[in-house]
Amino acid sequence: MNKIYFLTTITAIIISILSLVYTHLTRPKLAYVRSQELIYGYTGTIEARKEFDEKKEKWQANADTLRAEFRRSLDIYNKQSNAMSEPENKKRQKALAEQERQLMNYENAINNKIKEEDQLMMQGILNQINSFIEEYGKKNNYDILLGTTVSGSLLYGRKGIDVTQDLLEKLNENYNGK
Amino acid sequence: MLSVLFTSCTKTRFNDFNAYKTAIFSKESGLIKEKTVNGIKMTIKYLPADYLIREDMVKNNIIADKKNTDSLRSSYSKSYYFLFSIRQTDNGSKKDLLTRDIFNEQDYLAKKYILEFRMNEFFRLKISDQVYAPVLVHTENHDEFRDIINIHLLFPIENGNKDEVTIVYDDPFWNLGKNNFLFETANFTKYTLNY
Repeated sequence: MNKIYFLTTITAIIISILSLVYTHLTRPKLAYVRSQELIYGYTGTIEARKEFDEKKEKWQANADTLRAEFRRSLDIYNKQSNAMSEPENKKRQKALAEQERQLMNYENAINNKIKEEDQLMMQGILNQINSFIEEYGKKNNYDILLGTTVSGSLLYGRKGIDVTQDLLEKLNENYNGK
Repeated sequence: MLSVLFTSCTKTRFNDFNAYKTAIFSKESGLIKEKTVNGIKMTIKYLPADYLIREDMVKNNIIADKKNTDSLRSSYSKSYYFLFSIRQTDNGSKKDLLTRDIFNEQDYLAKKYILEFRMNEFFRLKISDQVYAPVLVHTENHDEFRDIINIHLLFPIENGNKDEVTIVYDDPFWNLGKNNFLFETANFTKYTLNY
């Protein structure tokens, strides 16, 4: 009787252990990443942003020069307009309107270029980050890597499965070409 | 086996060109760097002077005597030579490298023009904070069968501390961003070839 009881207990323990091991082995390996920190901590983003800001400043400096020239022309006109004949007045007004139109066109073109270049720059950066995440996930046998977003699709994650820091370090190493 | 005559801590000498080629083009050599972004693989190989000398000799029927070897070595040792290759890894892509992300003929022609004549604008060599432009960039014709683009780069060897050099490729075509490839210069002379 005791023998049967003993064997049943042992079998039950073995089955429990096996089922625990099976559950553990078949459970998907997942982790999460704080996306914003990854993107803005990435050396590629920091360097590209710096270069982009320098370019943007140059374009805006050109627009500032044109705006200053327009203001100067306007001031001169305001001071002299009372002494001008009607046809001269109209001629100067027309010239000023044309100058203003050119300034606005330039500013619009600059703003569009800034937007376009910004998008292009971010696209390259995001492609690099996404490609590296895929590589990182495969290398570390992750089944799923989740990312926190502003819209909050990931509401909670245990610190132990937050791989942001490790991923960021490896991402930056990869960026530096190591 | 016989081809490796002598192995020291830092240098390996070869008699057989094929064995030498296998060694310098292996990933362990430190002479090849790779990156994959957006389904496109970028590979950059450092081409050692010995490799270039041998290729030159075979191509131009030059006799491998001391005088010729020394003369070629003196011209090849003044520059860093790299071969940069681009190919697609996402085989599902129905477009090749030239037509990928291109929607009209004008853009296609502009891309071809840049590839042929303006690629020097998109490569730089960095040593610490110093940045150098290439002295020669040559793009081979697009290999349509294998869908590979090969670009040869030549940079002058500058004075100063050169333990590491970085090749920077700022991609203008496929949204790959700016890519750095770091080489340790000690690896450049790790493998030598006897003629």
